Amino acid sequence: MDDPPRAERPESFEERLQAARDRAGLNGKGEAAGGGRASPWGIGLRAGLEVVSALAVGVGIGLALDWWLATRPLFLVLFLVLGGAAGVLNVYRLMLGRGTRRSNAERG
Amino acid sequence: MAAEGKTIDALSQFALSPIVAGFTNSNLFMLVAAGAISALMILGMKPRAMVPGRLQSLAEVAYEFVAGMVKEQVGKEGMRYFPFVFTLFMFILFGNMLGMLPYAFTFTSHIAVTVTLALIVFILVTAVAIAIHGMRFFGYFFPEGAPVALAPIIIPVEIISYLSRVVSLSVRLFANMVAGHVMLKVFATFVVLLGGLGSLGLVGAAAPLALNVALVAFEFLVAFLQAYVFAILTCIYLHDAVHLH
Repeated sequence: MDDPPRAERPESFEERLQAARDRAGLNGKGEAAGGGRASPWGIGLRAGLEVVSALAVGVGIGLALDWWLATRPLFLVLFLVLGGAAGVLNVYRLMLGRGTRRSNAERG
Repeated sequence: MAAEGKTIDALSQFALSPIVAGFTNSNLFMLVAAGAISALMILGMKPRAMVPGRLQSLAEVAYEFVAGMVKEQVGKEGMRYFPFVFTLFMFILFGNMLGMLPYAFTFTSHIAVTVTLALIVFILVTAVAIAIHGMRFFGYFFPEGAPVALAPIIIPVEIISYLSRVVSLSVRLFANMVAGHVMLKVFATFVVLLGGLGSLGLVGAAAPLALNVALVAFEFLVAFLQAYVFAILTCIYLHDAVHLH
């Protein structure tokens, strides 16, 4: 019965609720973006998909340019390499997690 | 079933069959999904009860789930894209879930459908980025501070990486749905084929049957998870478009 009157309590209701949620572990920031915690299989498949899709786009652009300019296989070879690089970049970003896209580019 | 002979026909379940000219079973199930979503939201929210009933709870949970996802990933100002993300999520979720019903057709198992959905996301995200940031959007493809001499390499790589979102988004959903349904069909066929071998076969058929039970449960998980992944990636792309880092 020694509770101080509500108005005299230092924190607002929001702050106390926040503190209680923190104690109960309900404010989990740990939920990873993009499908929750993934199994090794899941990570592997996602990374593989990222590489393959970037490669596919690269090959597609290369073939389209070659078809347009009749330079086959010049652009195919060029964009195959660029597509591979983009795939590696995708996986790199996937592994970094999000929000670090530019900050890392600036650092490096 | 015996008409299938001794072969496993896993792919016929994905065949389109026209109901009316130009209107296939795939289209039918899209309409069913759209109708079911509308019915859930309209009928569910009709009572507007303080203490929600079952249907209203479902509608509210769906709303709050997507609203929370949009707020967390895009931020408060991202709520103006909520209707889009919600529609997308519910459409894919219902498409995947309806596909789990016997005799149903899974329209998300067609790459044409998933590519269309991914292109809608891609074009919308790009349009949002250009609408908000104008020409500065194109700075997205060249990080500040990078050596200008590297531009001929960095810019194509960044553009390919940006375009590959369409491919990875659509292939992920399509491949997961196809793989799951093929597995279900293959193991279901095992049950039938083994069951046809007499009493010993009936014992043997129990193993794929048990596995199929587990697979069905797993497929429900995948059906939800893939809708979730599609929606959350849309949110992440929207975040990039709104904030451009």
